[in-house]
Amino acid sequence: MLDLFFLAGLPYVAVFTMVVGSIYRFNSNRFSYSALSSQFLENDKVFWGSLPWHLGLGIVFFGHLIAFLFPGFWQDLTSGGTMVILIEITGLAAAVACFIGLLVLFIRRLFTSRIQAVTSTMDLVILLLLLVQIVLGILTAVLYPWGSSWAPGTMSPYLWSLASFSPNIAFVENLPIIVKLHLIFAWVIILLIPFSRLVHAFSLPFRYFTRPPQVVIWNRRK
Amino acid sequence: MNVRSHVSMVFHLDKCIGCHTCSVACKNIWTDREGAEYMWWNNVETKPGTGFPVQWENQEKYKGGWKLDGKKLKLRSQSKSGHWFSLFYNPNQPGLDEYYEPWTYKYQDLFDAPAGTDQPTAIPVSKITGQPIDIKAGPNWDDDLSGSTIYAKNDPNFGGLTDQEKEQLLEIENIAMMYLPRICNHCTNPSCVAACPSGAIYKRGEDGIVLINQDKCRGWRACVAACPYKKIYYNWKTGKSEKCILCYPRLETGQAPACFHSCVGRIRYMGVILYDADRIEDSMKVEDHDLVESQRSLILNPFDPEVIAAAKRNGITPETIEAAQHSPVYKYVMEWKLALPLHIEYRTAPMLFYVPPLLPVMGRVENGIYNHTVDEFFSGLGRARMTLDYLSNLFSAGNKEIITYSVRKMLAVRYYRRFREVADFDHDRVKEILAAADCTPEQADAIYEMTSLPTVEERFVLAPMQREMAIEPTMDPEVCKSCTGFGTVNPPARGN
Repeated sequence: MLDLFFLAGLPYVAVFTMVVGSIYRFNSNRFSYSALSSQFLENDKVFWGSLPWHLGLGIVFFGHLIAFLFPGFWQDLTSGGTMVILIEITGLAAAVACFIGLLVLFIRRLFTSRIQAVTSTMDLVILLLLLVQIVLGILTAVLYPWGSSWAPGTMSPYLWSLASFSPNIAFVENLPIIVKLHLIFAWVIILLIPFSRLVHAFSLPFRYFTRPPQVVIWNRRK
Repeated sequence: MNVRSHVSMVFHLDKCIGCHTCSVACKNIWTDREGAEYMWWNNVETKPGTGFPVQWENQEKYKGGWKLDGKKLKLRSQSKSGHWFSLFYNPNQPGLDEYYEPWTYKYQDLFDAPAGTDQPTAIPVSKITGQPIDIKAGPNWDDDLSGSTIYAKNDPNFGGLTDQEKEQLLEIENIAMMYLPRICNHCTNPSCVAACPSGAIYKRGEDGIVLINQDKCRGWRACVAACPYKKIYYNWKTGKSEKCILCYPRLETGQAPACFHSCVGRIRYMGVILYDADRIEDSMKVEDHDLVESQRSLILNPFDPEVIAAAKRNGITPETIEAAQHSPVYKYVMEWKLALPLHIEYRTAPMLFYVPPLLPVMGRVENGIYNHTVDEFFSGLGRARMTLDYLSNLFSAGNKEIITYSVRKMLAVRYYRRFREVADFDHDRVKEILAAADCTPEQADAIYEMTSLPTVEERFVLAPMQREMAIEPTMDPEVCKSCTGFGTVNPPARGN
């Protein structure tokens, strides 16, 4: 029953809240959408925090996304021995970068007085959740290796079953507790996106690559 | 020809007394709130000096503006693909310490202190952390400190000056200085706009004011790094960038900007200029030496029937064209060629102009007697206290001819007026001086009158901005009778 709530109920609540909440916040308080950078207040530690965290996250997120969207392709890719090792090492290295980055950011947020001035409770909650999530991910990778080859047969079908509104937790309910916690924390973090600074993830400036350099806006014509 | 109009300003530095009234007026209206305490949308710097933020002109350090790379203009701060990494950590963004940590004093301590033998004191506390701080710097920390080895000596504009000239500028018994009031230059080729990942910064078509849409800004800080004048400030509280808005809510209601309005020396002139928007970028692709002339070629003659016709085709109102014809800015920049852009070598085509200050060596002591003769007109410029090399680094990208032309003409006007008022030298001499400065008696009179005796109607020449028409598509002008400006109505608190 507990499994059913955390692995089938929570995901729907989380994703629904994330989508509706983020859109509602975007429409009602667009001003609050910001990366809320604090580099201005503290310029040194943020380099060792923000950069490894975001770059590592990019790699890790991309890996998870491909495995979810194209499980067949991912399975083929990871059937060869060397490829699995390569992917696992890349993923683990990225995760460690994330961990170090987050740790630096966490310490910075706790102990730098200027950063304390701009820290909300939610900032700390999010940082802590992400930190735990990364540790759970790393533990999964270390304790239950070759996740890149077993995930397409468990995680992917589970996520697809959720996506197709026919939730089937049989794929994941017998996985080790650490892996299940990794899933649950993911849903909680997704749930909190619209209530936290994490909304800035939706603001990634892809349009910058194609827009003309100068922007002129007319009040009256055009 | 794609004619656009621009609200532009001239600062007559010869009249600036460095009182900071403009800065304070601006601060009181716009940046007196949490997150913005350190911002000075308008500030006044002493030159030579390091300015605010410290050494902002040092683009080796701050990487602001454009650089000419072959036939292309490229941002110094980022490339299109490389900007992605700057989102997470921007190596070119100045930190708080390059500005200063804002502070207040614990005034309540003066009342609450227990009785004792000492006078109670109000210690300084940081406006960010609330903790006691040791004040290290302020926005005008180098005020009047020309000659200082900490400030003046580190002025980035000393490049290309001879040792003798540097010495002359720094010699403590002999120091010269000038004041440089700075606001956003509302450039026609703004690097901040080009750098903004979110596309939140834009130039208003009708008046050229550069603004940041606070609802679109996501706080990536690329503009802070890209602006060579460091006139975009990051609000640490709201996580958004802010900048001088040229007081557009005041302009839209027919009032002069706060800095202009409060100026004690009445050094500011505001008017419309018409320019050709098709050639903006190309005009900034010439060598440093030719940049001032190149920018002037963008500015169109508002009396030219062709220009007027093209302006009307572009929807510029007859009132605006008439304002352009009476524009003091056009007179200073184009007719008299006295006013020059600040650091045009950043290639952003700044639209605010400066009449350089005149600090000539008018006389000197010979055999214990102070001599002051008219001969100095031809020889004195080279020995000007604020050397022409230095001024040319500020106002003409190192082109000495352009700065000399401007300073010589101003000096000629002084001689001409002296002839008119005192007449202690003959008429031929005046003619010679005016001719050497490419000036006629009529022009000298006009310059004199616009410099010394202008009314506010002559200094501030703008057509009504017709805000009621601008807002008509979105709301009933009757409902919004005196409202202006900000689209966001949310209190600027930090998001979650």
